[in-house]
Amino acid sequence: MANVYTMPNLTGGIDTNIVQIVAQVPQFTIGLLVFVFGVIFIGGISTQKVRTGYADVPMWSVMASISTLMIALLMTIKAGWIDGVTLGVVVAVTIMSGLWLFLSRGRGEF
Amino acid sequence: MGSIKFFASVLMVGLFAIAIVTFATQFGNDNSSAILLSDDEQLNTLNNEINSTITTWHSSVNDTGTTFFSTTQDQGDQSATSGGQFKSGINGALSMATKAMTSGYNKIFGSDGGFGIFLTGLTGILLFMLVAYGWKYWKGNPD
Repeated sequence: MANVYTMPNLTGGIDTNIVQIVAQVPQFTIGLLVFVFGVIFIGGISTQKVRTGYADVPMWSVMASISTLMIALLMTIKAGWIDGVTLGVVVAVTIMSGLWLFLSRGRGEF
Repeated sequence: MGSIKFFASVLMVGLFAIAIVTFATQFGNDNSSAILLSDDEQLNTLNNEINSTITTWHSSVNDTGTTFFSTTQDQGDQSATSGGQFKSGINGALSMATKAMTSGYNKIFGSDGGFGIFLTGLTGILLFMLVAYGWKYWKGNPD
């Protein structure tokens, strides 16, 4: 049966499978990180908006960035999951989210 | 945003950048990661520069704090008018924030200026809005 990409060896363990998937589809890691960021960012904003009527967008940006960074850091332990450029961009996005958060605070809030 | 609030925010930006980069670097070292953030030259340079700024600032703030308690004035002396005690660290905090901002921007959008096309368009829109608001203020609704 023809496949879009070479199927991974499913007997090698989950980590080996993911490494093989990333080798075949390098966008997998980036897509996963963007998905995690988006779920936390949009989900947090929506939930807070429904519950309180106000959404603290910069705060959820930082929450999503740090969560994404944690997952990205775990991916660095084994070679083949994430590359240095992607990790650098995740760190940079986290720093820029922090910049947005701290410069968006008004008087009396922190 | 008041000046004290702005200064505190700028300072927190720098400290946040240090915390994130240091944590990511140490995580890689502690776990013998295959991918190390310390191999990233740009973020590593940012970390070193901000740490250097903090070190300089630390001694500067200490010296400034000492002047509050050590300085004496005799009767008839002119009081200090420079306000130097209150300037300590402002340049350092601004430097940390701008370095973090520049490094983050270059890391995300690249440093070759290609993204400048987007920024030029965005700046043009913002300028147009500024002019439109000015016109609205003087002449009424621009719509």
